[in-house]
Amino acid sequence: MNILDYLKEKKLDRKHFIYVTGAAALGGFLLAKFPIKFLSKRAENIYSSNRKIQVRENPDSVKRIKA
Amino acid sequence: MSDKDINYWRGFNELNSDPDFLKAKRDEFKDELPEGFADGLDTSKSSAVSRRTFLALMASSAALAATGCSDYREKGAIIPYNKKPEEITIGNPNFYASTCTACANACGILIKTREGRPIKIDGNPEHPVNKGKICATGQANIMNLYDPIRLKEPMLKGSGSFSSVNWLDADTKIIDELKKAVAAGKEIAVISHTVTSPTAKLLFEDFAKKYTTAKFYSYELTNDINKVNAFKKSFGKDGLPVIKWNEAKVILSLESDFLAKDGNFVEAQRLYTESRDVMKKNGEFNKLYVVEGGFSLTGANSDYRIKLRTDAIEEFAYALISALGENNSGIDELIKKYNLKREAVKSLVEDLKANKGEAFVTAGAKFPESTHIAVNKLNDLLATKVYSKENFASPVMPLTAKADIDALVGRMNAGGVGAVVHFDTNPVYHFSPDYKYADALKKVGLVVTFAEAHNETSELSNYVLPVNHNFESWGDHKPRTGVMSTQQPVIAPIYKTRQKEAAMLNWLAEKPEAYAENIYMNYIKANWEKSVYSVVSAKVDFKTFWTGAIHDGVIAFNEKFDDTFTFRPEGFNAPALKASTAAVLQLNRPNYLTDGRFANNGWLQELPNPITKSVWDNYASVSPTYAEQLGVKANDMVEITAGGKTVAAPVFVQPGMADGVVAIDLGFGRTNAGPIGNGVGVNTINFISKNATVSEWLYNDVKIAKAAGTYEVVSTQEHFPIDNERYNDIHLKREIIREGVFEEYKENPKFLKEEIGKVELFNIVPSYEFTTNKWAMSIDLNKCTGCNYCVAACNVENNIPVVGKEQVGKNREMMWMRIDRYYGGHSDDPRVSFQPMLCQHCDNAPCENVCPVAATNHSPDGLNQMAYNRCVGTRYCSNNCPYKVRRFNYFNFRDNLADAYYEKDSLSLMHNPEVTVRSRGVMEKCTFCVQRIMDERQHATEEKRDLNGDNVKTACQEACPTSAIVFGDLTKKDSDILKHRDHELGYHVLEEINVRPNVTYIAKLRNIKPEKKA
Repeated sequence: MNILDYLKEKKLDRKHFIYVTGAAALGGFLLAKFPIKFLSKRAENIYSSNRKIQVRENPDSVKRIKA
Repeated sequence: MSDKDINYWRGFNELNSDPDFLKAKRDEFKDELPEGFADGLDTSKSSAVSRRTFLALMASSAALAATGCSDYREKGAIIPYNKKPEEITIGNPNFYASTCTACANACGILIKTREGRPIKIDGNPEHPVNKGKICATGQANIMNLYDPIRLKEPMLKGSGSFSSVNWLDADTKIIDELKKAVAAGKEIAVISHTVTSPTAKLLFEDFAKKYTTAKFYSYELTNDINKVNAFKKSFGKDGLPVIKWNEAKVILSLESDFLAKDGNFVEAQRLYTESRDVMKKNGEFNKLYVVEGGFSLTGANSDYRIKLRTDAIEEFAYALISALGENNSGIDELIKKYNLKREAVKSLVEDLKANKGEAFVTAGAKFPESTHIAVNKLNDLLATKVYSKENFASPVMPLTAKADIDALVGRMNAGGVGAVVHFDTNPVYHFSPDYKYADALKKVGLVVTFAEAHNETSELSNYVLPVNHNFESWGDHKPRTGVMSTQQPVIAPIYKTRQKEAAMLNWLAEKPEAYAENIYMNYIKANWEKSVYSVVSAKVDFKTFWTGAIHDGVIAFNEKFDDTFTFRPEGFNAPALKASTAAVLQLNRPNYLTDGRFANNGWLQELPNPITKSVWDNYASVSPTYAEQLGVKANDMVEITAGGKTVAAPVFVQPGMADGVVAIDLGFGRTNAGPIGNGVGVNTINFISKNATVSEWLYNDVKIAKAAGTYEVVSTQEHFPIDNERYNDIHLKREIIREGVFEEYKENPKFLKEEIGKVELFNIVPSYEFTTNKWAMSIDLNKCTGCNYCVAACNVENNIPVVGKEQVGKNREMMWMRIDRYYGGHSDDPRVSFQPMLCQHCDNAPCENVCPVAATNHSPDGLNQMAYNRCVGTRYCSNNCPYKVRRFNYFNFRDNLADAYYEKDSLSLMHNPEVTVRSRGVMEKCTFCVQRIMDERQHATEEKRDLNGDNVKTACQEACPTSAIVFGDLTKKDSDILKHRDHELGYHVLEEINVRPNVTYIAKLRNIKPEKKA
């Protein structure tokens, strides 16, 4: 059956509409938090193992005192 | 009569109660739809979705989209120091002295770090060689530290592809294979670049003691081996003398680009311009003659430029030798044969004779030994005194001769080499194709490549071991006698990399599990205690001495060497190199990419060539006449054939080149440099022959033919047809460039002011009184060589984005500073003028008045400011700017180029946190380094004193090797900037339009005979 016809026939009352919309929003939020890799190459880059770069000083280095 | 009594009407129809008008008025808003309104309306074709459903769907879609718009990347936690080290103040940068290893010059550097991250490189002022200055490559090297393509961990080649392996496994296996190679009597070849480190040389010796079949080779794509060999033959010394350019009154350069590429060009620029200082009262100018076939930066800065095809220059040198012996026949013959400028050549001979002892001749490294021997003879005849008596540049380890490289490849092919270790080198790319090195590698059992990133050689290796960057490494360097400079890591390795020397020490010790980050540091210390500390006679204990050396970055000491230079006639006969009838091909070192190892550095790819102003490619430069003869114009493809090898390249028509000469840069056309560097330009290393008849970088049996197709070479500067009368000398006609002749200046120092005359300018509003500070800049065009180091420094300091070739082609490059290059005269023999152009911070800025949102305004201390978050991007300010110095972010360029390459996390560490990173839709421009002004203001406030303008140095000023740029506070009496501003040679660009710019240019003086003034 055509989804639009189904939607037209299946009238949601306001209370159920809010529940459905809320559930969809929550689902979208969770999906956004944990994006599936194949969706975006960029997401793959962002979540690559490179992203955590630790910056440490070398303890044997000698700093310059620059006026 | 009241308003109620007046009958208002809108037209005659209403006034006369026209029946049609009245009917239309009655029927204007009808309750019912007129009959037949819905006739022909087919409701079955209208949307099945009701308005309510549609709105419900839209609302839920918007809600989902909003949840997806959050920046969900985990940013990590900011944790303050639990126990703050005493010497660290959060927000204040730290500085470390070290040495740059981008090339063999080993310049001393100071690295500025913020929160442990290096963000800016400048020269070390205490270093006696470069004295606080470094080149553009050294400046931009910071990008290589954070380059995302850096290898993170060791790689092992399996069946066709690489997989990660840990260091312990890699070292264990490699040690095993090395021992097997020794046991089988097979050679272990270690191939490195120029070795400037005495400790690295010691390491090699120790390695060879342990692995007895080990042999060491070193090479450079462009080197001065011919010059060194010639000097050995002529004077019996290993190495080259250090030249005191500041003591030479007459310099003759035979196709030697000593200001940009040959030798220690940073030092040469500083010393050469010491003799071109108009601020010195009664100072004399030196005189520079350049004889060349190409068009170099040195040629552009010359007083007299004589264009002569490159393969005729040796004949010219011999003719000069005869002329110095009063026999001018050779010179006269050459003048006639090549149509040389007679007066320039005569002036050259006279000046050389008149300045014996203070004249110096140099030839480009690309020439064969015979040319350099002729030059040595010339210098001997001139009794030159410009060889330094304090220092001599003897190599720590000489470069390997071509014959030995050939023999190595032969042994590899014969199965006599058990292991090859590439010591951060890329010979598959760099070596001549004649060696067929890639094929020979396949016959070697173990191929190990140390590299920062994958390259053409690592692809053919068994093990690829990631190495520390320059700024993560320990080292020592000896560029010349009496100077030892130190290298220290300013950051612990970002990834799982190791210093290559430390890895080698590990193999020596055969205890891979016992590796520690400081093993090479301890090795250097042990060597210094034995061989350096004892020589310098330090008056402190070794620990203090070592800490002091690391702190200062350099130690200078007296080191005796034989400073007599007695010419031996070995190899001095008749000219060996003679001009052919075919074309001449010059293969030149690129200005910024060195040997191609910086190909993936976007800042350097986008830095314009100082002469051609081209970016992102190499090309075949030819003269306009020669292009016409070949039937080609700019961007046409040509096929160049030399020594049986053919390469296709696009044409660049370069005014001033000698006919029959083609010049093309090396270091391009890489296939495995990274996303930025891959495929940029053409690979001209294919021309290099291992048995070249002239030299590796010079071929005169060349054929050039037009090929099919075109290729756009992008330039940051438009090329007007300079022979067009309208544009010819436009920079002089509009007085953007003002020049004079040195002799005329000596007679009449105020000649420029007399030329300018009194310009009547008035303001329609009262001028603002600057009472506290008034920032201004001065640029001395006598000292500016057009090298572009200031542009590179500005890019690093101010987080300038790389936009890519396509955007540069649309004039959207983002560099705040540019060096305008003007040609004057005819295209066959133009005179070149350079002029750095940046925001002039005009007092009557035309950009400020037109901003609709007041995003650009004037500060109380004279700066033209930008408020990025007010800017809405109308670009009216840029439209109004007469100097065209404003840059607009048409895109978020970091996101736009190479699949958001510059958005990667590691590159965000490179940004200078003191400067906003601008986004799309915002105008930007030079700020006179306002962050540095604010820094000084903050210090002045803390110390309860007045702000001292002399303490503020802009990035461009700090980088300029000749100190051509002066910046300061005009309200301070006796400041340098005030002296420059009030100088008799000072002028402003486009002064007549009354914008009141605050950048003063000191007019250039040419040291030529007055009647030759352009």
